Amino acid sequence: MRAEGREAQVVALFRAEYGSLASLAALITGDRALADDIVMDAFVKLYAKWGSLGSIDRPEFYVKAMVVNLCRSKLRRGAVERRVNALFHRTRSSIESESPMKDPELWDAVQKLPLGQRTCVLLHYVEDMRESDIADLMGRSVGTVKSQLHHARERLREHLGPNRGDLDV
Amino acid sequence: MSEHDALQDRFKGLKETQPGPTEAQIASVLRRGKRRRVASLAGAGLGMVAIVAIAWSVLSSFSDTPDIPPARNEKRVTAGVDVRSGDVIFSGSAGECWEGVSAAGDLPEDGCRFSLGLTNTSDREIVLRSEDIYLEVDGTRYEVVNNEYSDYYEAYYGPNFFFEVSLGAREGGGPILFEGLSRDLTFPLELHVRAPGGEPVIIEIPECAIHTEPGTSITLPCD
Repeated sequence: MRAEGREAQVVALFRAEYGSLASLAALITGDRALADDIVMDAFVKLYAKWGSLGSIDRPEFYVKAMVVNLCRSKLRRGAVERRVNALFHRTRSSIESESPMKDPELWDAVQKLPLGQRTCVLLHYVEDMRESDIADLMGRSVGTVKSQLHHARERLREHLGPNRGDLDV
Repeated sequence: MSEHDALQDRFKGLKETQPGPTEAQIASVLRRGKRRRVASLAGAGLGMVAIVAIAWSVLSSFSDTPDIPPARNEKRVTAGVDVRSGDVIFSGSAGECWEGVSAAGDLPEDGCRFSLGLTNTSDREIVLRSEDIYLEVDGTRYEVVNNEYSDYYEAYYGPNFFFEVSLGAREGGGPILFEGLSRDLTFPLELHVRAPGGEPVIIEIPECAIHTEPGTSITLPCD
C-alpha cells in the first residue's frame, strides 16, 4: 500500500473517530488527558500496522478494540503504580478520576465498578454495542460478557441506592 | 420503557461530545506512526535475516563443499595487522582478492575489491567516517568518493568494524570506492584509517589476501 494512501486513510479515520473514542476512553479511565494519549497511541499503532493488516473489514471497530485494550492496560499499570506509591507514602495517583458535569452520581457508581464490568457496561449502554460484539472486542466469551453486565447492573443498583431512578424500570 | 432503554438514556448523558483532533495531534500521530513503522520494518528485516542465516547455517552443515574451492594457482598468505593510533588500538587484518578474476589473472572491468576487518580493542566506542579512510599508492592519496553504505560503519561502532573496499570503480563495486585508481597497482597497498582524534594507521593490503582473523591463514584461488 502506498504511504500516501495509508496516511490519508488513517487521518480520515482519526478525524472521524477521535471524539467518540476519546469520550469512551475518558469514561473507562476517568482521566481525559490520559484518554487523549490513549487514542493517539492507538492511532500511532494503527498507522504502523496498517499495511500489514491487509484489508480490515471494520477499521473503526478495530481501533476501538485497541483503545479499550490500551485503557485496560494503562489502568492495570496505574493500579500497580498506586500500590508502589503507597508503599513509599506518595499520595499522587497517576490516574485521577474526574467527575463529568452530567450525572455525577451515576459517574461515581460506574467508577466503582471493577474494570471488566465497567468496560462492558460502557460499551453496552454508551456505545450501544451488542453483547456478541463486546465479546469479540474484548476477547471474551459472550457468556462472560452477559455475566459481567448482570453483575454490573446489580452493583449499580446497590451504589445508587434510593436515587437509582430509572434503573428500577 | 425497558431497563435497557432506561439505562441507555441515563448512560448516554455521561458521554461528553469531544471535539475532533487538532492538526497538531494529527501531525503527531503521523510522525510517531512513521517512526514506529520504520522501527517495526527494521525489526522484521533483522528477524528475517536471522532466520535466513540460521537456515543457511543448517543447510551448509549438510554440505561437503568447502567454502573456498581449490584452484589451479593457489597462494597461501597470512594476513594480520596490528596497529596503534593514539589510545585506540586496532588489531585487525586486511586482505584483498580480485573478484571475478579470470584464469589468466585479469582484473575485472569494474575494478577490484577487498574486505577489511578491524577490531576495536580499546574500552571506548569509536566511529569511523568516510574522511577517516583513504588509500595511498606510491605516495598518491586517494579519497573515498562514493560511499554508498556510509551509514553502515558510521553507525556501526565497537567492538568490530567490517567493511568492504573497492578500488578504481566509481559505482557498483562495493561500499567504499576510491576514484582514479589505476588497475595497475603496486602491492602492498596502504590503506590509511584514522581513528577520531588519532593519527592515521596504515594497513598493508597484500596482493592476494582475504579478510580473516589476525594471524590466521587461508588458501586462496589467486594467481
